[in-house]
Amino acid sequence: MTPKRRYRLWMTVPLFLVLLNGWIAYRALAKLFNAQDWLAHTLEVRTQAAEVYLSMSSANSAARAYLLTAQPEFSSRYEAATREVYAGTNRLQALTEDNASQQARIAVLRKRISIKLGALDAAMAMRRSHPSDALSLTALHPALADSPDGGISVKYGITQIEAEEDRLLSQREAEAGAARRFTAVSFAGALLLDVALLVIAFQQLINARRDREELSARALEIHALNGRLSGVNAQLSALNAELEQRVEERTRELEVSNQELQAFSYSVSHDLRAPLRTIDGFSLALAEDFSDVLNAEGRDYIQRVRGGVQRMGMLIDALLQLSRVTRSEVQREAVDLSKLATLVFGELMATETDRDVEISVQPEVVANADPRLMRVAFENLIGNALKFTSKTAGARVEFGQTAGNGETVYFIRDNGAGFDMQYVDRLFTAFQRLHGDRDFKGSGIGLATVSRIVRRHHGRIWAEGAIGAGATFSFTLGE
Amino acid sequence: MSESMILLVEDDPDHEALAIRALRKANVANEIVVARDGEEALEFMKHVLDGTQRPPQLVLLDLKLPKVEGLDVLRTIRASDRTALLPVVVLTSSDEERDIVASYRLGVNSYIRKPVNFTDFAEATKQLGMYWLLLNQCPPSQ
Repeated sequence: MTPKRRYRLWMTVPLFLVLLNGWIAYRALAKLFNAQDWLAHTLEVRTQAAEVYLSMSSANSAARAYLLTAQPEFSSRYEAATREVYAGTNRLQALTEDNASQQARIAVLRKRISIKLGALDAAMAMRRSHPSDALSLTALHPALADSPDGGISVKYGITQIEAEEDRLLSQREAEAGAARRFTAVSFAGALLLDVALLVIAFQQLINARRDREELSARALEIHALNGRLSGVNAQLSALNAELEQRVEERTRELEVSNQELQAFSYSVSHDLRAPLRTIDGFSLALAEDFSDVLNAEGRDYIQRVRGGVQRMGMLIDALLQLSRVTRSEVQREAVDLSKLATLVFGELMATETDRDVEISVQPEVVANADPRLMRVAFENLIGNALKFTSKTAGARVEFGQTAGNGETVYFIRDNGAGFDMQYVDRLFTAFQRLHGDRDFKGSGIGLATVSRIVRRHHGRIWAEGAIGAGATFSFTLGE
Repeated sequence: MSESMILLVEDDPDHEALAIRALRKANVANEIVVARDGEEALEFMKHVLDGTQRPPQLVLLDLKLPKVEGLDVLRTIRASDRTALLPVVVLTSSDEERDIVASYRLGVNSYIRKPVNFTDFAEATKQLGMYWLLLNQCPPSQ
């Protein structure tokens, strides 16, 4: 039961008991008043009964006196007394209207009275008719006797009525007494109950207070903990702020070093190329302007010088590209690799119009990658494929994708010179070459660049090949 | 076309010699004036602006110059009405995107990356000459 309900119960029960008590007391009091009324009533009845008896006695005396003296005043006295008796009896009847048994007794009384009075009337009539004669006792006996015909006397009748009235009174008195006692008991009981309820209520109050105190103690505890928590929190945010600051510093340092690196590589590549131009230009000038002095060997030397210069230029370009790939951010978007491959093929083939290469590009190969980096990767991979098929008849280069192990694998395959699988590990290392310059020119950086691009996409790259049977370069892009 | 002259802005004397050689080989007979750094180029431009120097028909501009950067020279050329329309070709070894973008933003007419191989350079120069001096219609001098 919820505390509220319980509280309500504790409130309504005493109230109800108090009301009950009130009602019981009221009833008891009513009974008491009732009893008092009845007492008065009984007294009245008795008085009335006594009056009737008195009147009866007066009538009796008056009749006797007349019988003795034949004086008319006694007769009129008798008449008056008789009237009193009847009136009194009527009044008595009216007073005990509600009591059937009393009414019955009164009916009997009336009969006895009328019999007695009848007897007296007869005797008085006798005297009236014989005012001076002596009357026989036998003739007077019914009038003088208490019971003219042997039935109960009037006195007895009245006494019976009185007794009944007394009985009723004591009964009512007993009832009143019982009511009083009941009232007393119920009052005492209710009082005890109220006291008990009060005690319980008081107890509840104490409990409630104790609960409140406990709660406030807990609240204080929580408050203290809260304080500690915010303290810890503050520490945490302070540490966080410090950390962020450090991260910011490092990022800035990194940016600065990145920028420095960029500037460095930019100026390096530029400054390294400048002398190359000089070397190349003047070697050629030498060959052209002093051709009459130079023999075939001399011209050959100059060619070698120029060759060296070219290679150095390509190397610088490749290195620059590699460093750019390392530094640039990978910005992924949907890239149509098929289109890109076709484009790069076209560009690279544009300068080699005399070659006949079969190109196969799987259509609609789309990947989520950085388009600029992918272009660099394709330029290197496709460039390689074209380079290594330059001495192959029926050269074929293809680009496509396959699915394997839940990831997409892209590949570029050629049927060119291939490579020895024994040295596959060195393929992607910068400056490691598996073919000499005599066979195929190259910087040895291209695949290192592609490898770096693939790794920056969180992908993997691997190669398979066989000497004279071509090579397949496969890679994933960590999608 | 003996009147028209080419301004070559190049700091490296070797490259200057090679550029002139390439132009001559391409049968470009115009007078070639050389400015060896940004400052000299600006001096020349000043004389063009105040009328003491006739404007060149073509400016070949290297970007990496001492004292004043090539891009600043370009900016100055484009800044004044008299020289704003001069055909300027950037001839540089840099292929950095930011250089290309900056040059075009400043209103360069063409951007050529100098090849290392002299033969290629000579070919490029020949094409330059043919295009800018023969084919291209130059803006009228103000």
